[in-house]
Amino acid sequence: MKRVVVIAGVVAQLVVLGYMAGEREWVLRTGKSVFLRTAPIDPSDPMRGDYVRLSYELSTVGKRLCRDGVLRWFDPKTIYKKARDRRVYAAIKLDGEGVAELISLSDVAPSSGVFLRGRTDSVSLNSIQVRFGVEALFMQQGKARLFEATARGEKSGVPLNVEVAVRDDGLAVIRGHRWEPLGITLTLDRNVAVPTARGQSGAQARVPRPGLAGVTVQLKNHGAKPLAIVAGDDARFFRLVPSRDDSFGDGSAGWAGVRAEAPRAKPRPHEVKVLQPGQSYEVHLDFSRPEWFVQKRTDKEAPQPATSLSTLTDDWLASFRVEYAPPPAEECVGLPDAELIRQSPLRSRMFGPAGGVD
Amino acid sequence: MSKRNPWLFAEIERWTKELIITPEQAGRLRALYPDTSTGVSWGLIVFSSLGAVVVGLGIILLLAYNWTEIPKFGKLGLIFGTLAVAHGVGLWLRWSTPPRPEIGEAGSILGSMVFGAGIWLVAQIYNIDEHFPTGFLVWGVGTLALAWALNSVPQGILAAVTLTIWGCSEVFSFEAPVDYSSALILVGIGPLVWRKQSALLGGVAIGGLAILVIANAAFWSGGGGAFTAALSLSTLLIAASRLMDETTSRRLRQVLAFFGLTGFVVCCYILSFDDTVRHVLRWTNDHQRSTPMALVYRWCLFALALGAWSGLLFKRWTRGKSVAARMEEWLCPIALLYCQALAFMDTSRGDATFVAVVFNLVCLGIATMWMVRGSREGQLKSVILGSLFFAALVFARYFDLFESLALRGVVFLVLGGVLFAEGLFYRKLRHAEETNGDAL
Repeated sequence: MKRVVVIAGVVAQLVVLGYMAGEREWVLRTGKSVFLRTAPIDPSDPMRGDYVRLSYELSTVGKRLCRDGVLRWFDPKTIYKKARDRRVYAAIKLDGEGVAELISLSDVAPSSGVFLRGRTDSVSLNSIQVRFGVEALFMQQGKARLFEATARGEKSGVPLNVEVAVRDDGLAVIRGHRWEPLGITLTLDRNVAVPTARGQSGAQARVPRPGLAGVTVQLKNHGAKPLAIVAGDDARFFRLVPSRDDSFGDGSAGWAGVRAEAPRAKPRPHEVKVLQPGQSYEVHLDFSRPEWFVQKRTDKEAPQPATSLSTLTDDWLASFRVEYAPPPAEECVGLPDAELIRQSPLRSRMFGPAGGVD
Repeated sequence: MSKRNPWLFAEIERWTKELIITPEQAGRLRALYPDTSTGVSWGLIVFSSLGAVVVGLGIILLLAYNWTEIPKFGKLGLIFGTLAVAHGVGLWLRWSTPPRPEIGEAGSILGSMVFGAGIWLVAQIYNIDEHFPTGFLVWGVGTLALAWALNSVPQGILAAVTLTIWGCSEVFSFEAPVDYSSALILVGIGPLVWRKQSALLGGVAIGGLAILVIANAAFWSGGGGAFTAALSLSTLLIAASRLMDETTSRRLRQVLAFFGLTGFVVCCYILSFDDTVRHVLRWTNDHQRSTPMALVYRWCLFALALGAWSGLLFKRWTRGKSVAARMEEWLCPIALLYCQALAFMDTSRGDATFVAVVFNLVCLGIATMWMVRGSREGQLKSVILGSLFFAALVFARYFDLFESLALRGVVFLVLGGVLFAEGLFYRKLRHAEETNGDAL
């Protein structure tokens, strides 16, 4: 009898490991494929040891996208204690390239559609940090650093799409990863710095930080095949978006480009540009022009007048990304090389008028 | 020959040869000191188990390198194969003829280490980045099951350590205390400690239990709650060590008393600083003072400790002085009652300096009792501990009480004088004892 108990104990250990591996293997073989785009790699998101820490665009969820019981977790009295490590479900929709976009976050599993199962990491007054159990990409020792070097050098500005297999109950398992073929980089164009007049005390003249005159955006084909973009006259398929998701509505630093939500005309044939492998397309956004003005918006107050980024030098909370937002597939029908047009929106690294590119 | 009395048994041989005692008398003397050793080689068990733990860590690090040349199923095969082979060899050695349980124990420990490694390596293979404390929980429970099945102290120690890491990770990494984590150690490991009468396992389990109780109490009721929990637990452990009768292993009782007294002395030393008194004896400071769990940690352990001391008093009353508790140990429940009353009433209304003076006197009393008893009973360890505690108290007051250099000088002269006098007292008593022994 005693031997049976001992052997049962050993077998139990084997079964636990077998279940862990078997469950994930089953999801890998049967789960639906979804691509999760990692947020542009920020300096605060370093490689740790022998794995790459992945931060997804849908890992940070603004309050406006939260539903059901999740909304109660924003109560300031209990915010730091009650909402950690809670089970949540992120409803997603897939764009033309299979990349996931967050629809809502709830503590109740959606009855239909694709969704990811996760847990809350932390809650602030206006957003929730969620982890889906797929935030680490393990690699052989040393290769993670090479990966980081590639991300910062050769693949600078190129988003990483992580392919996950998703089970019906939202459990996700990493299946692989791929670099987006289209990359976006920025070159800031600053005004010339003009020293202020010498003060009455005879102190050294102060040189204020010059504002931003504009930015040069480069889209480059990093893939092995030709692809097409819709450049648009007046760069109308580009826009300035807040560095954090527009759904925060926190009232503290709600800066957004005035063009961000403006309606756009349908693309025209001459606006389609085919990029051969290694070829790039550049466009300069002149911030003195009204379509590139930005506006501070809050939930409670009326919008402030739009202003140019060239005059905005003291607000360290104002930070943006340039987004290339191609027209939807149905608007591209009939355009030349329509099948080559990338459908996923592409966001640059963060930049601010008071700082540089992140 | 008994391992505990080699000198006595050698002397009996000599006395028999020199015809001081008869062989029959020698036999009766030997019978008074039976060989109680179990024949288990603890040295072999300890070193082979430590070796197994180190080998297990090596396997973890080797596979953590994450060789890209090894395919996924190759890695899984390595993990499952190593786990099965380690346990298989361990059980085979245990059940072979003749049995070799010490080496078998090492094999089983290696198996449980590989089990823990396997949890993280499977997570690595499938890029799982889930709630990591759960890995320690699964590891701890899996090892605990084997500890019971194999009746194994090393497995129990591994389980206690992993379950403690689990509970602490929940508190410190996720601010999500699992209040039954301490209960799991108490219920899961406690009976095994009792069954094996193992002081080592008892020490590890009590250490883990204390860490978890204090960490969870600190989360729910702040520094004041943690202090109350630590003092209550110390009081409870001292009472438990005295309540246990002779059927319990002496070493196990010593372990309980050691943890209890250490906790009590540290608590008293902490309260000898008036700033600390204002912080830890003021529950109203704590952010979550009214939550139910805060009340549980403040009052339940307190009630248990008082209950245990009441039991000790009752036992002493019914059985007389055979139920012994040392004088400084009686200070423990008194200090607990005093602290609980102060914290409940909020010391900010009273004089924290007065409380600090009281606990300075308590510390001084404990140190003096250790020094005097050690000198009287010839226990050098007790003398040294008392002297060190006395010196620590003087140094603490040197920094926060005496501003005058002349006063500091006097204090050091007094400290030196006390230590010198203690040395003379110890030597005198030892000399008197030796003289009396010779006269007899």
